[in-house]
Amino acid sequence: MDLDPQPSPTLIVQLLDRARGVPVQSWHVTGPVARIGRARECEIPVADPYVSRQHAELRFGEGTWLLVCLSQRGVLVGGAPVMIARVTENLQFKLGQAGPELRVVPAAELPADLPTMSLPSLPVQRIEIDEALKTKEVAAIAESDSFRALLDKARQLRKDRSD
Amino acid sequence: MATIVSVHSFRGGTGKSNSTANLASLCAQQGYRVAIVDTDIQSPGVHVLFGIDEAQAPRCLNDFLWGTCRIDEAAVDVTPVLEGGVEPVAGRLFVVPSSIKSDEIGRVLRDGYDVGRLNDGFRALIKSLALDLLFIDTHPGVNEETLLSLAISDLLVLIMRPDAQDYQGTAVTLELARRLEVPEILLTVNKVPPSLDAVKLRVDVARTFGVEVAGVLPLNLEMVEVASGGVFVTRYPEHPFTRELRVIAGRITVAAAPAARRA
Repeated sequence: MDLDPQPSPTLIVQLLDRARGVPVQSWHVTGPVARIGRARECEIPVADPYVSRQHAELRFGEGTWLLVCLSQRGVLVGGAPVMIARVTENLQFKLGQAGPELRVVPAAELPADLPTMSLPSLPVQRIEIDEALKTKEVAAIAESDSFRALLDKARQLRKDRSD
Repeated sequence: MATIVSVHSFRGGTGKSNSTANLASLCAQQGYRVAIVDTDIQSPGVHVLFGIDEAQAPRCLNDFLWGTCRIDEAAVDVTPVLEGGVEPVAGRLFVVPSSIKSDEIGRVLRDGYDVGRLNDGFRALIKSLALDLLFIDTHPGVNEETLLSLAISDLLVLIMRPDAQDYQGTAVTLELARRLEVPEILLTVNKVPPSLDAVKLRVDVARTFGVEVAGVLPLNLEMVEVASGGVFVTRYPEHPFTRELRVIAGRITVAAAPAARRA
């Protein structure tokens, strides 16, 4: 399919929160092609293990935006798998049975001051280890006689097994 | 020479027993002779996944520990359960279950058991069943039995959730495993919600714990639906969860002695 040489209207694509269905992230898409997938090179990168690296794309051609499925996991609109769908007002689609939902909103229809994020950011998971506490807890166990005896036994057993 | 793999978690609910059963099944599918010993005597669970009931298992680990049978007499060949799935099974899988009778569990908790006998039992089992891999499904937390499992293991798979309650305890267990000179240690993060960036999580975990991350397993709703009524990987051979688990199984079998690999 030849891509239309005229500039395409902007779309806004929103990633919806699974539980509440409200937008948590959005992208401005100017076209002519916007790839959706787990790969970082995509114009719409979605970090989700159920999403394929190149899952779908939005393509502008012959005066209209189309949603095209690129993945075996499928793209679902209204619960039904589609290969190509015309982008209509508020089109909502799912990246595979287990994947996230996205929604397309024509940019012209949005008020100018709409914030990109509709929810406060979810806290980023930080993995914190209290090293001092860890050292104390380890010492309490590792410095016991029974632990030392176990270590001696372990060394002996490993030596026996490799002989 | 068989490889002894301990699968351990600091807390319960990480998906340890399910993961052990599914990992062992994947190894058996690939042609290895594998056994799982359920040493979680206080809360046994592996037998459920394979549909083992009292009729099939008149003897269990408890009987062996109390000296009333040989360990191989307590082993159940569950390969037919795997053969019910789509993938062919080139190896064999055995399970030594723990007793589910509450009075027997109570007896163990009161009287304890000879931990040294457990180690002798593992070696006898490996010999009698000609095993390539022996998986030990341990009781969560740090106690005498789990430390013994670590001491006799060639490989430790630590499983945790991406949850603050798991991190500290897993770090302590990891350090104890190092002190016990466990030759190889792998960490697996399970039940990862889709909102977390799995790639970033893997990097963060590896960096924080200073250990190899063998796999990052997604929160698996289909697994919840199976509800331990079967072996997930045989029902869903192409599920993303199964694929990631297969990578972990491959990593485990790489650690297995080369002489043990089947053609």
